[in-house]
Amino acid sequence: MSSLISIQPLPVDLHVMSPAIWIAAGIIFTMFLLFGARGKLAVLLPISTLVFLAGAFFASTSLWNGGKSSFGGTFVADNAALFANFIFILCAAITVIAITARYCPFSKSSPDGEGTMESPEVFPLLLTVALGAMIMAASRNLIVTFLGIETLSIPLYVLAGINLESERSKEASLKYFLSGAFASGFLAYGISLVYGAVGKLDYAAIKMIAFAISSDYTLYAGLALIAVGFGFKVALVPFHAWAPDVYQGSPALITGFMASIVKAAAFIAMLRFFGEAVAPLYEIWWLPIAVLAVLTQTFGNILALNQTSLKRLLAYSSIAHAGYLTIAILIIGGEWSHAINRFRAVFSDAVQSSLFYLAGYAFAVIGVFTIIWWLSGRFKETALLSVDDVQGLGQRHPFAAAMMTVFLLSLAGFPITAGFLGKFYLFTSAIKQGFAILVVISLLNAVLSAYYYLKVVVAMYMRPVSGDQLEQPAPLVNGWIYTVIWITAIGTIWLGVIPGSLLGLIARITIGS
Amino acid sequence: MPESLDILSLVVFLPLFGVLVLGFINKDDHGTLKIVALVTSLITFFLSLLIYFGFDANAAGKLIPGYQFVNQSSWIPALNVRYVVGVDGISLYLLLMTTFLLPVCILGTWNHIKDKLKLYLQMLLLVTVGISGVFVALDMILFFFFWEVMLIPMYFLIGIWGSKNRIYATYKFVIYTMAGSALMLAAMIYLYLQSGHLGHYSNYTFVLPDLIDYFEQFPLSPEIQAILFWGFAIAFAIKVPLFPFHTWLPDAHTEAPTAGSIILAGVLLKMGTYGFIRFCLPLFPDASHQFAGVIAVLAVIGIIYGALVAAVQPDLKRLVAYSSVAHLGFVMLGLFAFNQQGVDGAVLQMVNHGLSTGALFLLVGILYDRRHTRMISDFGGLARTMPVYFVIFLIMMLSSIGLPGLNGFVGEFLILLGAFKVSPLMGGLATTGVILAAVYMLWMFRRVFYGEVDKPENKNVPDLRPVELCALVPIVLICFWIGLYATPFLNHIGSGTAPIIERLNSSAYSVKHAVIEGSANLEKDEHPLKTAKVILPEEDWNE
Repeated sequence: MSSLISIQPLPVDLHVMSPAIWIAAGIIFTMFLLFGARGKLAVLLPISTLVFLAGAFFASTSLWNGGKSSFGGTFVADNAALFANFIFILCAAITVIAITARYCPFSKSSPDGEGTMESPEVFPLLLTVALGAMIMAASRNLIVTFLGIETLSIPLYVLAGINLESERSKEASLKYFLSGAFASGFLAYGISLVYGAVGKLDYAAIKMIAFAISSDYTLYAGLALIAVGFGFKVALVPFHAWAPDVYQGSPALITGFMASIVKAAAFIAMLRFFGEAVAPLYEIWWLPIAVLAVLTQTFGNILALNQTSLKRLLAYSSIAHAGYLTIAILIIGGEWSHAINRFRAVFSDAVQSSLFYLAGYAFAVIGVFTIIWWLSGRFKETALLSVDDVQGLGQRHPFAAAMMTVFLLSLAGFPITAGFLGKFYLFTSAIKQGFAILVVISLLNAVLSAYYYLKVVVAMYMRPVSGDQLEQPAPLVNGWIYTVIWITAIGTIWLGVIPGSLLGLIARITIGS
Repeated sequence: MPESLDILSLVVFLPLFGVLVLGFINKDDHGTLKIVALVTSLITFFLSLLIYFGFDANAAGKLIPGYQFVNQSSWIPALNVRYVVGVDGISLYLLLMTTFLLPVCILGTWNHIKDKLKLYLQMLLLVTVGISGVFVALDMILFFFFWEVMLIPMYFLIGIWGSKNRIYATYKFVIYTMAGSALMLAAMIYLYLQSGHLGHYSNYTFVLPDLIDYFEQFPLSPEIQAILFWGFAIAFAIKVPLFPFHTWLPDAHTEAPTAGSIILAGVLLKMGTYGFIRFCLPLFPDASHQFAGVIAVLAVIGIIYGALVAAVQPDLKRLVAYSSVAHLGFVMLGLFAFNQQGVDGAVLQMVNHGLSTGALFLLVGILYDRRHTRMISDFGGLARTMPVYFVIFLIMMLSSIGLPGLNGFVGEFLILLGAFKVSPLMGGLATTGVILAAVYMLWMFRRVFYGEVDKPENKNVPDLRPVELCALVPIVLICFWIGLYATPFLNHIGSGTAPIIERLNSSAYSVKHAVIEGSANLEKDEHPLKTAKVILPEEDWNE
């Protein structure tokens, strides 16, 4: 019972904490800037945000291959957590640049015209989300994981509703908050049940006890509730109902950020939980998780087929992607069951393939939402961009259409994009662990998904264009936007064609002891 | 990606360079755009001719046995995916066809496309990169890369420049192909994971020749082979297309712009038959024997069904499209005869079909460009108004029917010979396809070219332009060349097919049956499989 209320202070290694400390310092600094930085000085906000993100990035690189931990092993800086940090920092940095494009006081072609910085509080909020994500990725203790999830979620509820002019944004915020609170309830109750059953919150301790006991229904119930809580967070079917409305209502940039960073953080946390804590129970959980994976992929894809709103379509696509990623958890189970020395089992395939997948997914999804936001900017964001609205985009704005095609192809998993190699890596690992049938189902699902991604491409290039559609002015040109789209597009292609260097880094990542 | 750019990689990736150059040209400067695309395609073609003349049918192959112009380097080391390309006697001609049809497409449709010409030329060049890559890739994942990459430009070609029903056709084309390739990818990954099992090979591998070697020493169980065989076979059968997977083809062919149809018929369908001979037969020899009967029956159904449906088509392009189903049925029949005549004939027929059907699509496209209709009933008496067009159409049609002296005859004759050796019934049924081909082609020909010019709009149809002749005359010459003197072609092809046929006939399945059928010969010093070669497949098909 000692790990919850520890009497001796746990050893603290500030170096291990340094990425999180950089971000936390950034939060405080940008919050103070909110008071002073007005008018032209407002540009200090994104710049300082980027500086602190860069600090966190370099702090993470300095820890690479160190394998250190702090707080008695509950907060680790292993390569998995550090690589996840890179993904979070990337998501946050790209989003910051894109938001700056929206509000940049220097940009003459700023969509608002006024050049005022609306809602400057997004910057500390974005940083807080990144902090929560980092805690989730580094945690090896249920309470710390819970803390990370809450740190990540609460600013996201605010961000979803940041567009005060839009009823849908407010609705999204409330819905996200309610379902998020519900999920947190499940998680907290599940954690308390697990604690009740094993008396420990540390993953390593839970694993040791789970390995020893034969069956304990309190522990199973706790495990189930935690899985449901995570299921809500990453929108697995049947816990997905909130996602389309929230994705649709939130400002597009926030949606892209949410889709990428939350998925990355939650899946790393899940891999840690299932691998480092409850892997010995894999015989109990593998079947329900496999069912969740199949349901999520299939329903996500089928429901996406008939969507007309682009954001809703991508929301369902994001659900389907969560379904593919769920396979990574099963790979954990497979690796555990095939390990020679189970107690010392090290998980490599699952975490490596899912990290690569998440990195590729982050590029594509942030890219595509940036374009959506860019295109709907002139509609004051409240207008919903539908598939019909992008009709003729290939002629109106070839650059936007071409880049959108790249991102959609990556989401669909076509070669030369990161999406293909991500799926390929994930599915190879899954077949290696004996989930061949699941992979066939997933591959057929990917074929299904091609239909709705191509639907958007068809609208952009192939549908006959009427005169007034062509007369719509091309979206405003803005250097910041180009930066974001180029970064994400080059990232997508780079990971799809010459991923060797990145995969070399990823190949050193393992979790478990 | 290749570390040192060799000539083969150059042929594959040169069009990509053309795409980039086109990107810097003003999109309204049509003349420059076309010239840049044409020059790129011609350079690519001449480079591929260098490969052709440098190819030695008797060489053993230095880096990988059986393959020449090999370039191998690491690509994604973490996943054991390598960049390995090379040509053998089979892929040599298909590569040559691909690079040859590209300038033909550009020249033949010189003035047809006016809308978004830049994107159109870029897509044409890109699709060539994908298809030539498919024919030279020796790493399975590299193959899959090119296989899927080719879909995207083809999707744009059909979807943007196609005719009325293009969007339906383009969806159907992409979804069908992807559905097949999904299973293929799973089968590839499974094979890869099998390759590392015994530790004999230091590591898992996707490299095809290594895999074939490996599974020759450690054969897969027949059940696994059967599952994996179909994993690959469905993907390829959709591409071929083998009956009953052919339904995407008439739509895609009919709706595609002329260049799209030429590429589809000329080389894209060959990706399917090529896949069979490159992957299915050598990787799964036992399963190939086991299912040879099924595939032969489907091929014969395709031959007869395609011909019958072609006969009743009112639309010229649809007629040619259905004739493709029939012709590809011949190719499949030849491949699954598993003897030298059948397989060599099939590979030659892949080339022949590409030439004759490609040319027919181009001719139909030229007519459509002038008259904006493809209905046979809208024509009549064109022999008088377009004499040059008439002559070339006649030659290409006869080549497609398989008239002796032209290329089609050599291929079909060899295929039928091979099929007869194995099963006279199948051979006999397939032969009716030759007669039916003459029926639908000649009937169409009569309605289009003979008779009076009874419709006023047919009176002043301009004859072939010089630029179109530039595209067509080389095809005609090659058709005569193959038809009159096919030996050099067959020598090259034979050097590529021989190891595959040998592998097929040394498989466990063959050996088992050879012991029963040819036990008398086993005592003699003769290789037991030589006997098996003739007897075996016959038994397969009658099972």
